[in-house]
Amino acid sequence: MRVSENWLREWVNPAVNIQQLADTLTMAGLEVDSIEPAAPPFSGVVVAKVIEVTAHPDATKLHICSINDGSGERATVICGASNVREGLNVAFAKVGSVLPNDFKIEAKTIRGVESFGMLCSATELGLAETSQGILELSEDHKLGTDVFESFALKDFVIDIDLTPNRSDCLSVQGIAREVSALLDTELEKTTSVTKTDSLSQTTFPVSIKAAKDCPRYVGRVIEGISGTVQSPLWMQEKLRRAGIRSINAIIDITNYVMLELGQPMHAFDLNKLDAEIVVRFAKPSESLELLDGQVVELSTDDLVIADAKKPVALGGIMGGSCTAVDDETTNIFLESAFFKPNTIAGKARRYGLHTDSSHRFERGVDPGLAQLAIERATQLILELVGGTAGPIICEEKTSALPKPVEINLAHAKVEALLGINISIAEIQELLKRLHCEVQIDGTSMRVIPPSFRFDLTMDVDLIEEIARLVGYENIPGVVKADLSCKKTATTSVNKLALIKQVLVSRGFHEIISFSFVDQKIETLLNPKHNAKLLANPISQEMSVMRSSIWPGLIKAAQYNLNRQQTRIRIFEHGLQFLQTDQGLMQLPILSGLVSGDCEPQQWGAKPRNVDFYDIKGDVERILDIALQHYGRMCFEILHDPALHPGQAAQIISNNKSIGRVGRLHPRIQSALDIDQPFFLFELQLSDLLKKSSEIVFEPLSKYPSIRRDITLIVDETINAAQICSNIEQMKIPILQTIEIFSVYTGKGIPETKKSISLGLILQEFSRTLTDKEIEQTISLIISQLKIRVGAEIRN
Amino acid sequence: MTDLNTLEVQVIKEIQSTCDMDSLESLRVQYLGKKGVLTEQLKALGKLPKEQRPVAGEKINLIKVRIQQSLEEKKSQLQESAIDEQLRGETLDITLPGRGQSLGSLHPITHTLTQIEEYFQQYGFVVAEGPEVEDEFHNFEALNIPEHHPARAMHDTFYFTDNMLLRTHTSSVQIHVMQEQAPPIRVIAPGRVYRCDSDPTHSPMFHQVEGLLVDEQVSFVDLKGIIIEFLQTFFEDEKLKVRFRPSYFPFTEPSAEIDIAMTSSKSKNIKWLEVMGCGMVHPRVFEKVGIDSDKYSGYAFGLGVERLAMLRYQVNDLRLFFENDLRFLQQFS
Repeated sequence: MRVSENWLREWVNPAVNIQQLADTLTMAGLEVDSIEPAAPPFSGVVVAKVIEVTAHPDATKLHICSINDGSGERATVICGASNVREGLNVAFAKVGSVLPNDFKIEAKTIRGVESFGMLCSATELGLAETSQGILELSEDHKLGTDVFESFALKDFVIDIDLTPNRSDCLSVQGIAREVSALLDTELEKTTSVTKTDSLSQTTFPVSIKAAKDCPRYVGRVIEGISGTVQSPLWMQEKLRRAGIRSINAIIDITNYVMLELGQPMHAFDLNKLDAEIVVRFAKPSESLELLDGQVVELSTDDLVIADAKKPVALGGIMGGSCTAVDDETTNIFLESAFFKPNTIAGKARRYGLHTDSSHRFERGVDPGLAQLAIERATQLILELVGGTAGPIICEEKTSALPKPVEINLAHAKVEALLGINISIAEIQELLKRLHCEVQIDGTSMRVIPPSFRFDLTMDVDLIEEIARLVGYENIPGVVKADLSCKKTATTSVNKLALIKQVLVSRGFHEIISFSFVDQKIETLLNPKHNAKLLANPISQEMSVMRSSIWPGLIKAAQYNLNRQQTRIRIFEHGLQFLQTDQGLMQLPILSGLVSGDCEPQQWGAKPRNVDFYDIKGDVERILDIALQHYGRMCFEILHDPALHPGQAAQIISNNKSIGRVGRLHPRIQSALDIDQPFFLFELQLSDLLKKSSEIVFEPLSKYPSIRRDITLIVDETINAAQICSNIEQMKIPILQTIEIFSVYTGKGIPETKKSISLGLILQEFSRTLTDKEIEQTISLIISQLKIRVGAEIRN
Repeated sequence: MTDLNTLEVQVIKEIQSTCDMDSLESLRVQYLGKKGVLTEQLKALGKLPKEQRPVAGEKINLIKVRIQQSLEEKKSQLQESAIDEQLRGETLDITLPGRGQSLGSLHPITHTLTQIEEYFQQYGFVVAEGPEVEDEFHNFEALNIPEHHPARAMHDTFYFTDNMLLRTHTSSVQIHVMQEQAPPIRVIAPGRVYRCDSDPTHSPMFHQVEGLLVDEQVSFVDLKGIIIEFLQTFFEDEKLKVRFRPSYFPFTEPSAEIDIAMTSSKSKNIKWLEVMGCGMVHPRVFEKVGIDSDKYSGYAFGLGVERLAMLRYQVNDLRLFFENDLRFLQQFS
C-alpha cells in the first residue's frame, strides 16, 4: 500500500516527522518498505499561459509560442507538442531552471529560431512514466506560481508492506486510523460524507441471487456526465502517488474513493446495461470479456454481476469491457458492494488476475462502507464532472452480513501469554483506541471489535493488539532459568557429523544440489524408475525429484571440470525420492563422487588417477565408523544401469543392500560428454545411522603373533572375497587376520590365472604358538583352498 | 726406555692422522690388542730385573692409558664428523610443501546449521525431521492456512499432480512432532524448503530451521529471551541489537519478525535486517493436533539459514551456495 504523506496528514497529523511516522508504523507491524519523494526535484518551472502560437517556418511539427509567465515579459519558446494551443495554461521551464535528472534549461536556437525555455510534459517533470503532449494545467493557477510548490510535490510516498490480515489498512482512512491509535492522536477528519439529495428519480432494478456471498449491493444512477472529462491534476497526482494511473474522471473517482476509504467501486455505462443488475453465480458455459481484454470462461462458482442477458463483471474482481465507461459515456451506474472474502478468495488467481479490488475483497472490506463510499463518489462526480444523481439503490440481506463478534478476554490470559503485568484498565484503554467496544466483567472483558477488523476473532488476536500498542520493544526478553536443565544430543546427528568429518579429512568437499533434477539425467541413471514429476517446475532442468544424489553430484563435477578444476572429491547428504508400490519413499542417503588425480599434484610423487579401489577405500572407512560392531558387511557384484558392469558393487550388511559403489557407466559418461571417469558411491543413512552396539573392549594377547605369507595361483575368475570367506569358513581359532598384499597377472603366471599373496596372522591368547601348530595350520589352509577354489601354491 | 717414549709419540701421531673407524680399530689391535706391541712389552716385563719391574710396568701402563685415551678421543671425533657428514647429506629444502591428501570442507550451510543446532541443543531442543514432499494438511491446513488464504499465494508452492507439494517451510515439521508427541515439546527442525521462485535473491530451494517449544506457562517474554540470546550467540556479539516487530503468520498469534541491527561502517547508520519470524503458537494449530490450549502454550520460530550464513560469512550472492564451485567450497575448510 502506497500512501502520500500529505494525503495521510489531511486525515491525521501527529507532531512527528516522516521518519518517526514510518518507524511507528513499522514497529506496529505495518512495515514501511521505503519512503520516496513524490516527484524528483526540479526548480524554476512556473505556471504560464500560451498567448500566441505560430508555425515554425522550417519545421512542420514545431510551433513558435509566445508565453506569458506572469513576469510581465513575453518569452518565445519552440514547442513540438501537438496539444499546444493559444490560451492553454502550461508548465513553463524558464531559462536557468533545472528539471529532473539535473537537466538544465538553456536558451538555444532550434532550426534558426531562438527558444527561451521549454513547455514541459508530465514525463519531463517526473510525474508520469509516459505522457502525450505537454501538461495541461487548469485555469485556477495564478500565472508565475512555482509548479513544484503549488502542486505540493514536496511530498513523500510511504510504501507499506501490509500483511494479509490488515485489510483495514488498505486505505488512507485505515492507515490514519492506525496512526491515530498508535500515537494516540485525534483524527483530523471522520468518514462522514455529506449526502447528496437525489436530483432525479432515475433508478435501476437490482436483485441479489447470491445473498450469502454478496449480502449488500449499493448502486446509483448518475446521468448527464461526459466520459471525456479528465480528473483534475490534484486527483491525478494523488492517484499517481498511490501507484494508480489516471484514466478519466469517472474511473479516477472510483479509484480515489477506494484509496481514500477502502471501498472498491465500479462504474458501468448505464446505456450498455440491459434492463437490470443481478448478482448471481455464473451459469454453465458463460463467458465474459474483462476490461483488460481477456476473455474468461466462467465457472459456476464465479460470482458475477449480470444484466438481464449476460455477465457484465466478475464480482469484486474486474468489470467487463462491453459495459465499460468510455469517451461516449453519458450515463453511469455506480456500484459499491460488499462481497464475502471467502467468495472472492482464489477466484482472481484462477484467471491470473490480481486487482486492487480483489486484493481488498479477499482480505475483507468493511461492510459498513458501501453506502458511505457511494455518497463520497457521487459528491466528487457532481463536483468534478457534473451530472444528475438518482436515489441510492440498496439491496441487502442484513442477516447474511458479517456479525460483530463478541470476544471474551480473560485478564489472566493476557498477562500469562505476554509474560507482563498490565492492568485491566490499561487493556481497556488500548482496545478502545482501536475502536473496540470493551465491557469489563470482573476479571475478564467482553470485547466487540469494529466491523473493519476482519482479523480480530479470538482472544489471542486481541492479545496481539495489546502487545502491539504496548510495543514489542517494551516487553522484556528473559531466558527461563529452568530451560537449561534438560540437555540432549541426538546420536544419529552426531554420527552423521562424524562420517562427514571423515570424508572431509579424506579430501571431500560437501556440496548441496537441488532436490529436483533434469529428467534426462535422472532417466539415464535410473531408467526403470518413474521419477516423481513436479506439476509446475521452474525449468526442464529442475522437473523431477531425484531418486539419487548422483545427478546433482555429476552436474557439480561437470561445473567444476568446466572451470579447470579436474580433481574432484565431493559428497552430499539428503533425501532420495523413490516411487514404490508402498508409495513415495523419502529416504536419507549419503553420496559421493571422485574423479581425476587421487591426491593433489605434489612434488616427488607420481600423479595417479583415482580408480575403483580408491573410492571403495573411502566407503570402507565410512562403514568402519558407521557399522562398528554392527554385523558383517560385504561387497557383491552389482549390475546397475548407471555403473560400469565390471566396476560396480553393492554393499550388503545383515543380508540387506545398504549402498552401492562403482564407476559411472562409460556410455553415460560419453552421453554426458564427460572427459574423465567418475566414481560414485551411495549409502543408505537410515541403516548407517542406527545406534551401533556399544564398543566392548577385547583383551590383548600377551603372546607374540606370527605372520606367514603364502602366494596362491588361482583361476582369474576367483575373486578375493571367495578366497577369504573360504578361509574364514574353516573357523581356525588362532587365525586372527588375513591381509591381501599382492595380486599379479602376467609374466610367469599362466594365462587365465592370477597370483594372489596373503599374509596370515596367527595368535593364541593364552600361550605362544609352536612351530608345529603353525605349519599344520598353514598346510590345512593351503590344502583346503586347493579343494575349494583350486588354488595352487606358487613357488 | 727411550724406545717406549718414541713409540708413544709415534702411536699418538698415527692415531691422530687416522681418518676412519677401521684404521683406528687396526691401530688399537696393533698396539693394545692381545698380541699388540704394548701387550708384548708388558709380557716382556718378566725378563727385567725384579727391582726395575714396577717402574717399567708403571711406565708402560701409563703409555697404554694415554694411547687408549687418544683412541677414545679420536673415536668420538670420527663419530661426530660422520654424523655431521650424514646431516649435511640429509639436509632438505624444508620450504617444499608437505605430501598427502588435501583437506576437504563442509558446506557453509552445514557449518551454520551446526551452530544453530548446538545452541538450541544446550537447552534441550531435539533435532526433528520431516518429509520434504508434503501434503496440504501439514504444510498449510494444520498451520491455520486454509485453501485460498492470501498467505498461500505468498508461498509460491511447487505442486505434484497428486495434490502433494514440496514443503514451503519447515513449520510443517511442527505438526508432525505435535501429532506424535505430547507436551512438553522442545524441537528444532532444520531442513530444505522449496518455493517456486528463482532470481538473484531467491533460490527455488533453501534451508530453514523451525523451532517449537510447548509447555505450561510459556510466554512471549520467554520467546524474546531465547531468540535474543541465540542471535547474540550466533553472531558472537553480546551487544547485538535485536528488534521484535509485529507481523503476521497464520500459525502464531502474537507474531513477530525479528530484525538485527547492522551498522554500516561508512555512515554509522543503523540498518535493520530481518532474520527470523516467530510467535506464540496459535490455538487453532493446537486444536488441529489435539493439544489443549487452555493448559499449554508455546512458541515457534523459523529462520532462513542462507540468510544467516550470508551475514556470517559475508557471502554476497545466494546462488553461490548451490553452484558448488570448489573454489567457493574450499574456503570453508
